[in-house]
Amino acid sequence: MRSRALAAALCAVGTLAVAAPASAATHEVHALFAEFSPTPLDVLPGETVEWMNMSERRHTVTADDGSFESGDQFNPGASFSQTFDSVGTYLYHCRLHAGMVGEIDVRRVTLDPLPTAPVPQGDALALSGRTATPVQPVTIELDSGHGFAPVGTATPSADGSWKATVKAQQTGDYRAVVGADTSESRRLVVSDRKITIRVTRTGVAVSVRPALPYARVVLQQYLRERFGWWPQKRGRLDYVSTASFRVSRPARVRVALLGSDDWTPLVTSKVVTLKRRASGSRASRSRRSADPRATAAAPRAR
Amino acid sequence: MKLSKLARALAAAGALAALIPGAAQARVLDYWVAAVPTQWNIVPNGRDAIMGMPVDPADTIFPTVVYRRYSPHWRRQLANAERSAADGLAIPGPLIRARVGDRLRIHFKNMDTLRHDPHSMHFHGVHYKPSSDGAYVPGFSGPDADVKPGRLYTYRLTAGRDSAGVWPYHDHSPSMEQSIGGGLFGMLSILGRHERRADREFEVVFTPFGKFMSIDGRAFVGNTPVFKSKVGDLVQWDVMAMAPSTTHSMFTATAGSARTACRGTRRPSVRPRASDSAGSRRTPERGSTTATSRIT
Repeated sequence: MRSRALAAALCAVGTLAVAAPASAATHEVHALFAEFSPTPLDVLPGETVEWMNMSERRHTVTADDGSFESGDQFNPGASFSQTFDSVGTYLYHCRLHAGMVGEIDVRRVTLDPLPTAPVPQGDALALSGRTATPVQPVTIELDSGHGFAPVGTATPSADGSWKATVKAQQTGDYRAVVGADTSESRRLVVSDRKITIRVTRTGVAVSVRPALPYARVVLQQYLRERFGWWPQKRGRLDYVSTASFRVSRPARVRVALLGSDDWTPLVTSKVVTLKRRASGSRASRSRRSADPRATAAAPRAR
Repeated sequence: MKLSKLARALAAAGALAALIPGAAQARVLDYWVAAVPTQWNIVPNGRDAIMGMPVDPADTIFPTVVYRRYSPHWRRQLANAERSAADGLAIPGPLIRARVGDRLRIHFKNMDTLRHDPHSMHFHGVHYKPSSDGAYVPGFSGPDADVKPGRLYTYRLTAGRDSAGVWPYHDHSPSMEQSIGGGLFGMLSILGRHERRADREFEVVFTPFGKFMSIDGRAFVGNTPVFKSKVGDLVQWDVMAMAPSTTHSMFTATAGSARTACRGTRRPSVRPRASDSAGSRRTPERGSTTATSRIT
């Protein structure tokens, strides 16, 4: 037992010695039951990737071109490290499980993933990433159909990380550039539609501009028991791009325009709060709560 | 000689009649079920509320095929379970309720227009002929186990005396690996012949879903079902673990988890009941358990 611990300690020291000359940053990749995560992974030259087997079965980490190989002893709980010195794309796989593949991209400048959901036009978009040459500024470029053009710059901090904020104007591909080196280009979808909401006698009414007739919308209500905004009613815009929902008071609601997958909000309206009606209209309130359609939007009675 | 043979035959027939419970007054229950495509969202509120982290919609929203309950002849889609907790409750599939002695006819239609895969239904814990098994064996099983898109099949089941409890059913066609991971499973809930039906029946299915571990196909607090009942209600918890063989094996959950999830104003008393506990046999097979609790 002791000798094994000693061996492990020596091993660790050995790994450190190898990794030390570079910036010594280490990235973890987990080998799960049937996948590597995260993949693809962006690293800078000289950085180390450590694969950890978090699953309940044995895997291998084998480069497609044979440049690195974990061996067969990559058992549950084991880890395997590899330092990448030169720029390039390194594909790897598990020899034991078909379809279990991964990718390490070694680049001199990286751009972190962008939001996958569409961003409303004019919103501030926070970009971040890392660079191997912190002395040089990072240029942000956008290709919205006519080739890449600069839209902003960032000054990296001493550890190589950089941050920039740009205005989301158009759908397109973003990338970071330092000298001749470019990061992976990442797509951002910008939605130019606006959704206006107003309170009506029975609930809320919305309209979407520019018009998008028959698009799907969803009424979301803030529910404490749901820990956030919860879809309550789905509907479609009519032929003039408006829709209305019945809401039983009191409620905090908003309406979202949905993407083609019926779930991803393209744009979300402002939040409106529907207060309980004044006591004078109690009769109308009780009539409304007797209406099954009206109560459908409310959380069930406790 | 002849007389004794006849007597023996009569005795055998009597024994058989005793074995088949309630053959005289057997009810026949019809369920209409279809495998239909849907857009599923594992995290509708879009966040991991405990950690305060947003969840990437790309990881949580995807098209999948689920079991849905229908009115006769698949005219209209119905809720999968009465007074259920989840919205729409497409996962798990229709709650098939019966009593010991009932016969069930499960009319299944494959409406998979998403992947155009064959599907089937394979039931645990009930009695059936091989033609209602629904489990695909290449070159051996019949159309019950390989219902092609657009085709129908009727599974004929009998709830025997040993069927009381909660049991899983799931796709067991050639596409089962992918289908079960996508939500093609559900539960049979069979009461004893004179057992009182619970006021509320809550289905809890633990299953890996996409990148997450889920309850009823939903992950993270607020997204997982919120179960509600009145004080004094008799609540039945149908708890099941479902794991496609391509992911981690999971074991049967215990009744203890039922106590914590309860929203009664006072502490419910939980009494575990007889169950199919595949977990107690310590096999990674699919199994389920049931517990009945009364909120006092």
